[in-house]
Amino acid sequence: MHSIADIRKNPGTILAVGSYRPGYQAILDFDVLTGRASPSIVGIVGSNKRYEKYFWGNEEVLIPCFRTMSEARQVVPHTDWLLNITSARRAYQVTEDFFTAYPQAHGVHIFAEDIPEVDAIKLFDTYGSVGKTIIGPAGVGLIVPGFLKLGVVGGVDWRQIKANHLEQSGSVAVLSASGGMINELITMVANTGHALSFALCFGGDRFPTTRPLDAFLAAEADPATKHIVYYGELGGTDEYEIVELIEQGKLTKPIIAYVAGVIGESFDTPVQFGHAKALAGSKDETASAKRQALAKAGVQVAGSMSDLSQAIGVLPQDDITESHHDFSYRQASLFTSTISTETADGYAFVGKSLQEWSAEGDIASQITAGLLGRLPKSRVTTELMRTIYLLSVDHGPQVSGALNTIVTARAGKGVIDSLAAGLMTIGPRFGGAVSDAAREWFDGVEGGSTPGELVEKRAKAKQMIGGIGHKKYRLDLPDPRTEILARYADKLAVHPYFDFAKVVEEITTQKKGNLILNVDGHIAALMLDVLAQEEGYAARELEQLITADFFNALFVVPRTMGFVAHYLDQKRLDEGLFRLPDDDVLLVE
Amino acid sequence: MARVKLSEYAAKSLLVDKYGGVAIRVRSIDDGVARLSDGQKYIVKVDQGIKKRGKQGLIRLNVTKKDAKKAIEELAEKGFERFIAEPMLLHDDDEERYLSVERMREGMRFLYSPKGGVDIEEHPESIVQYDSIKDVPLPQSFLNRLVDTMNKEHMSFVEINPLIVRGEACSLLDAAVLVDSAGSWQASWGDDDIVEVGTKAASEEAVARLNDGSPASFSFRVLNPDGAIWLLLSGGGASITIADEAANRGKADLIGNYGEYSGGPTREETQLYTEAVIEQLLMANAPRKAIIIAGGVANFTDVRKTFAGIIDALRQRMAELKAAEVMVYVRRGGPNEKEGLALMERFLTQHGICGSIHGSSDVLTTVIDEALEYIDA
Repeated sequence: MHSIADIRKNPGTILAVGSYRPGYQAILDFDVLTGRASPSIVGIVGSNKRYEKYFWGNEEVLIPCFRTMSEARQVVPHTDWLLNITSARRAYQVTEDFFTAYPQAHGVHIFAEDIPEVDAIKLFDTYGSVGKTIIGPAGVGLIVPGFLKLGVVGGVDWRQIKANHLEQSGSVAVLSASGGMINELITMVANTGHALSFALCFGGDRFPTTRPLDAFLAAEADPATKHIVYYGELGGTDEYEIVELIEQGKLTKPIIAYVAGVIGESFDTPVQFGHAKALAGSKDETASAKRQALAKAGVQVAGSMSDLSQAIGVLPQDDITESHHDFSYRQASLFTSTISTETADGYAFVGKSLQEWSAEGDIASQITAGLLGRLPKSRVTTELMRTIYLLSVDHGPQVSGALNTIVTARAGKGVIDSLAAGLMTIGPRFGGAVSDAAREWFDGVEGGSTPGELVEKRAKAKQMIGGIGHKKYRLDLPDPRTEILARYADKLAVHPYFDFAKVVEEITTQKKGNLILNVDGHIAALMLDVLAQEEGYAARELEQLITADFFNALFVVPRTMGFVAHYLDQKRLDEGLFRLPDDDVLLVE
Repeated sequence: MARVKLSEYAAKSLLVDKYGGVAIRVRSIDDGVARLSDGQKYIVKVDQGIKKRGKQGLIRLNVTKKDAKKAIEELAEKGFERFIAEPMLLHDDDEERYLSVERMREGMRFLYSPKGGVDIEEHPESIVQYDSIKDVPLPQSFLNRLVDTMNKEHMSFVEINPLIVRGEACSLLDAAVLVDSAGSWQASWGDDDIVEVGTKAASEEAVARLNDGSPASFSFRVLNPDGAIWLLLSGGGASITIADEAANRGKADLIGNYGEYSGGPTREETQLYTEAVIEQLLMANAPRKAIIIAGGVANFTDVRKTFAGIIDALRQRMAELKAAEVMVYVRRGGPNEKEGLALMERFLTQHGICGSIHGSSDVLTTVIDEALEYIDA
């Protein structure tokens, strides 16, 4: 088992799997109460959200969420603990996945009840016996006051954490088979003027993955622990191993113990109590026999809860410092923004005040920061954005969007209506193909299919490939705009998305000369490559951008400028209402 | 969540190739008998996980198809529902061996004795423990198949007595198997293959159904149908500790039930659970009765929410509770402790059935003393 003293030196971080909001919130409250600088939970796996919002003291903080363990591994390269809140049927697999992704991690707490015996034994043999700490199943975890809270142990309400002085390290270790009773004992320790050194619940299953004897040895090895308080139950023979440790001189610290279940001896047939292990099949498994064996070895055995409370009460007191934190009045916000703030000095947009933006004087840089939600790391990104803007601002009055803007302006409408008419034209056939193209190149590269397979698949389904084909330009009449865009590939060390798109173009242009890689296809491929190479975007972040229609936004932003220009042009000309000439309409009877 | 017993029929169906036994239920005796063969002699046994059936007269030997119905009906008259009929295997008493295999943390533990049979307990010195399968003096092919089946079917304990060995062939004349109920979803046995010793009260069955349909956990077992103290407890550990306190006072016989709810049940689930406890309490024949609503300091179960469910149930049966002069004693801690306790105190006081109310600053077991005082007064 991982040493408690080491946890105090470096508590490490936690990856949580499963959904358990109050439990996670309590861990973050514990972090704030103990003065930790950032949340110990670095990610939550098994959520469809990008982030979950939690309180961080009286403020709020976003904890990143991931669908799978491998997705988490991409973003969180290192973590120390797994908080496994999945069901009994999934808990084993999730633990295995965790150690595959994070072989260096210290350990796991498994919360679920009803883990099969064979799985518990396998967990112990595979991980516990090679030094990993597996706490549970059917328990509430481990708490090292002041340093680490791994599980619901100690409560899910910040008031419980505060009332039990869990923000400070003390001298009494509490070890328990029962999740409910560990908190009862923690409260008893706190109510009698003591603080905890640590508390560990090994759970009420037949084969706990942290054996009681491991927990006792951890307490013995922990310099802060002066006294051990133990809660055990009838069933099983773990207490005899404790007795053996004492007799061998390996366990020397004073122990106060309560072994519950003498009630079981009042009945003729063995009774199965709440926990899986709580059934005395033979005489040595009864509470009385185990109490006797412990007492004989020198353990102070309490006969009742009041005895136990008294025995703890007379232990030397710890210095308790009252914490001044109060989270009573915190309120969750209704929505979240990460890009802009209003301050006393005015407004800030993506990390800079508007005055700073103005002084810098680069609109391309501001657009890039706005679309990424953070300042770009590389000048190449801003330059590509500028080029895209300048090349996409307008493609003539004939195109659908410009035409609708013009028609609306001539109908006497104002700038908002005319611009909206133009913007609302953007869609699958006009201007909305950049995201489609990005999807093609991304799926191709990430999914591992070849350009040939993509073309074959689309041809069979008689579908267009996003980013391929132009009405006017052909292989022998190249689009001058794409030549400018293509130069960006030279600025990158590697450009897998652009390479993929170019090979697709090679195949399609053999079939038909105008099936070239068009402007949309270039923008999509090059922006993917620039974001991956220059801005450090992981595949999953690119995927999120595609889903969010980021690539179509690259078109919408400059074209908005183009539509407004057309609107103002029409107002200057003031030609009056537009009506299609009769010749241009085929009237079918 | 625990080790439970398989019926002998289900156990042998999994452990024995081409098993020749027939399961017979009391509601369809004729169907069962129809599956027996003419000209074959059978042994007919009650199959409800009961030990020492021979000595209790729950076994019939040399039964033919013709008189099987009568044999089963005789056994059914004693109140049993499940039976098993197996072809008789003629053998000498000194052929009988004993074998048990139990899953331990370190691996399987084998106990073997060449002197098996009904009197095994008289020869404890003949039982030898083996920690390695290779050392057990029985055919290895048989042992390997047994352990494979135990692993695949989540069996935790198998006891075969007697076991008859003739060359490589091993016959299981009687087999008792405990399975790990947590593994049921991966095993081929089901709920129907589990036998429970004794019959269940209606309230126990209601709680079992509640438990099956909820992510929270509920248990309820009647210990003394005419008990005076009825426990409505939360948490596996706290519930034993509180029951212990009655035993400490020498009053274990006054306890009506053992049970607990835990794992954050909803208000509605807590109400249903409470109804089952009240139902059983009202049937008890005791001069004075008390309910103890108690638990440790919860880690995550919401005290206010669960107490609201308990109050819903108490309110429904208030007239009967008052008529029976039932008093209620409360001790609980955890999330929303103050609000929950205040809610409960107001409600109980209003109806005049409030014995006492304690929070996390008072020792868990005070309520037992107070309830005993009321009952003894």
